[in-house]
Amino acid sequence: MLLHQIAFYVLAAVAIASALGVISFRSAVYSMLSLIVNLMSLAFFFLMLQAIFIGTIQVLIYAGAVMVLFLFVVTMLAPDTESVGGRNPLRWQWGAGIGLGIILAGGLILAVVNGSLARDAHAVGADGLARQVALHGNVEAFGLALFHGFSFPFEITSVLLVIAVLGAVVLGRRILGREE
Amino acid sequence: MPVPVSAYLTVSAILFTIGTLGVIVRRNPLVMFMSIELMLNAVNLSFMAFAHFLNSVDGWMFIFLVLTVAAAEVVVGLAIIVSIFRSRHSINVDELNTLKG
Amino acid sequence: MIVADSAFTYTPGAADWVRILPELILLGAALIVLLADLATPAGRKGWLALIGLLGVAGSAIAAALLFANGDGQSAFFGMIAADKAALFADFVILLSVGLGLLFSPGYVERQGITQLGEYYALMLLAALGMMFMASATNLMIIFVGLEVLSLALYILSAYIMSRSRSREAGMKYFILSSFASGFLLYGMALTYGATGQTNLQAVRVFMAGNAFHSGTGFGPLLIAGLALMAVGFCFKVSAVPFQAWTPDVYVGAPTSVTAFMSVGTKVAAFLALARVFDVALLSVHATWMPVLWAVAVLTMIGGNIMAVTQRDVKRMLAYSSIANAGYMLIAVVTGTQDALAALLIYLAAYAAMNLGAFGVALAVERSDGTGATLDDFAGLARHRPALSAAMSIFLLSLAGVPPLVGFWGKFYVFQAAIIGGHLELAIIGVLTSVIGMFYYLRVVWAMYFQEPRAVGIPAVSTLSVEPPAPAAAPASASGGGAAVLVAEPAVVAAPAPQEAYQPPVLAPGAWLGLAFAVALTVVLGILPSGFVDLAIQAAHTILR
Repeated sequence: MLLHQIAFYVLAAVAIASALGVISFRSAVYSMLSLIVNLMSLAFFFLMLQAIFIGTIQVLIYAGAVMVLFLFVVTMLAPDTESVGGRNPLRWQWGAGIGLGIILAGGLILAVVNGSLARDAHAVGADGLARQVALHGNVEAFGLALFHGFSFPFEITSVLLVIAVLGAVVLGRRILGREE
Repeated sequence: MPVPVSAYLTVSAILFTIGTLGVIVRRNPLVMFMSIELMLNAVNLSFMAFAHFLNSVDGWMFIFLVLTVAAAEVVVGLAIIVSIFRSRHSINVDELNTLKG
Repeated sequence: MIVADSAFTYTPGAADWVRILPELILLGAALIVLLADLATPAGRKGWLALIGLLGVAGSAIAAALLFANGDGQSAFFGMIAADKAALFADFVILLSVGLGLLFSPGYVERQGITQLGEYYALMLLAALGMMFMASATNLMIIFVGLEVLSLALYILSAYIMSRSRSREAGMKYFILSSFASGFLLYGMALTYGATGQTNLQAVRVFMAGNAFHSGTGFGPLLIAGLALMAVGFCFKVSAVPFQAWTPDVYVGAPTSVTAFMSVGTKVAAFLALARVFDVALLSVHATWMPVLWAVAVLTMIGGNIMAVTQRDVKRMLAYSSIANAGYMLIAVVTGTQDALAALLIYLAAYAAMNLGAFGVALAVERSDGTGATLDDFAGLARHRPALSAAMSIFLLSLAGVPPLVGFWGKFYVFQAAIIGGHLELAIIGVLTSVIGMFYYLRVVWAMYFQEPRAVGIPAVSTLSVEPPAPAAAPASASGGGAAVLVAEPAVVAAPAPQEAYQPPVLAPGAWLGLAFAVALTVVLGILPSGFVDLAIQAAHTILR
């Protein structure tokens, strides 16, 4: 258990530090790499919470495939973005942003620390996640839920992917026609 | 004593706030977009903590959806940013003045 | 609990698929449009709009059959409702996408839009996302539906690739809208944590069975969740502290898309807002009410005052859509059954008149996307009496003049507010409507009582945009491949700059669309009882 706690605090420190890195590095490439570290640390959080399958796809798909695409674009555009779109020179904007951030974080932390979960309401018995995982295994429990009770949102994601493909086709085309 | 749910939620809230801050203060759309990804992932951590401590599968499913949505958003968002960059060679949002007025 | 099955064993049956028949037909139409695009030669892409319209009509028929004969239950493990409120919203969304499609042929070619197959398919897919969001009875479907419609609209906003204004509108919309989605999603996460449910009916059952204290128990989590969800939704409906993106995106996007999204997004977001706040979380009405009350007041006042200063009619309509969101928020704040009925009536009325007004703006617009300012409308009645008459009807309806449908929308919303104990909102609504009167009637006045623009001024302004136009034809042809090569010369030739003022030319589809919008605005205004009854019926059978 102590090991668990140490792991949590180390991961939390890594996650927060890398998140700060994302928003404060001058270079977009460093921000990007920092974001990947952040996503990896979240994957370890997921593993700690016994979501083995989601932790794995977080690494494979998110930190892997999606971020590689992102990194590709960032490195392609980075030289140009660094010259013009680096850190904002407006100091007051940082000040105001940090002020707002402290208020937001304060409110949220207050809420989540004081609030308790709906423990009495959660699904127990056959619907309980832990029981299903014990019964079928981690990936199987995920799959059973995804293809039974949650098949409809899963189907809609196919529409989402069709739109993403259309978007890439439409926007990725070389720009034709006149420029105003 | 295992790590309580509020600890996970606190980390999630801090990450979400950092992401929000990034969108507000940075002017490079790529970094703003990364900050949005940061926000979505912070929410995923909350979902995961809730799913675990509520013993409910809905949170897992939500994370799966958010992953898919984020992937689709990355494709479309990067395509828009690249198309703007190609024509202007500048993607600083402060320089996007055509729409002012 | 309605849901007896376990999430791990539930299997959808035929009845589930029947309940989402309107959505399925629309999805099928979108895919057929994509396939037909491959077989359609470049000059004949108008047929794709026709296929899309057939899909919309089929979907509307399915929705009508379900409205009359459906069981009004939810489908797919309580994910999506086929209740009458959802079907009524489907009608309004289908009306707006149908009119958007009618306005598109001719206009899109004039704006130099290529890749029309994808354009029409994305319009239909955006409408599909709106229908999902409006029918959602689970937080998950609200989120995914929202993302489906948003992603399609990001692309459509940026569709005029040759125009930096359009691309920037797409990016601005993308960044700000995903930012707001983050807030909405976090709100959903905290609500899920507080109630242990994502199903809205289950949330409602939980709220009914558990004592709510704002300081202890699940209360703090729920309050934070409510606040974050309110922020997300207020952004999506462009309510006032979160409205900054609206005018820029509405002006920068192709006008046919703006017309469609200004209505469709509102229908989807308001239905979802009503289902979350007025149905699932009605028992904590007193907790969230003050926040949305303040947003509603700010939106009505801010939207109307900012609209007064605009000289560009498209921009004015954008601010007017913000103001209208304020009136719709009154209904959500009131939260009674009558208010929900009033919301549906207002949305339907708004769809007819607002799409019509954008349709006229689209007809007047020049090929470079400018030319919808008050000066361009000056004296329009002399060149285009029919167009001016249609615009006058839409604007008078937006202003809330009695025999038109817009009046009934306002009437029922204010009536519901007064009965529901929000007299102050009704008073503010009426007062701000008077401000609205001014900027709507100013356009009417310009069309009928102002001299047309002096001949010299347009000559200069068109000359200044002339140089890029001839250069564009070879540039686009060389970069474009065979299909574009065929299409482009015709596109460029049509809006050739003229010395004298050129009265706008309308495609037959746009005339049909405008005639339809006028008919709806007038007929539903004179004989409102039928559709008001349908809306009341819909609001009373909303799943709870």
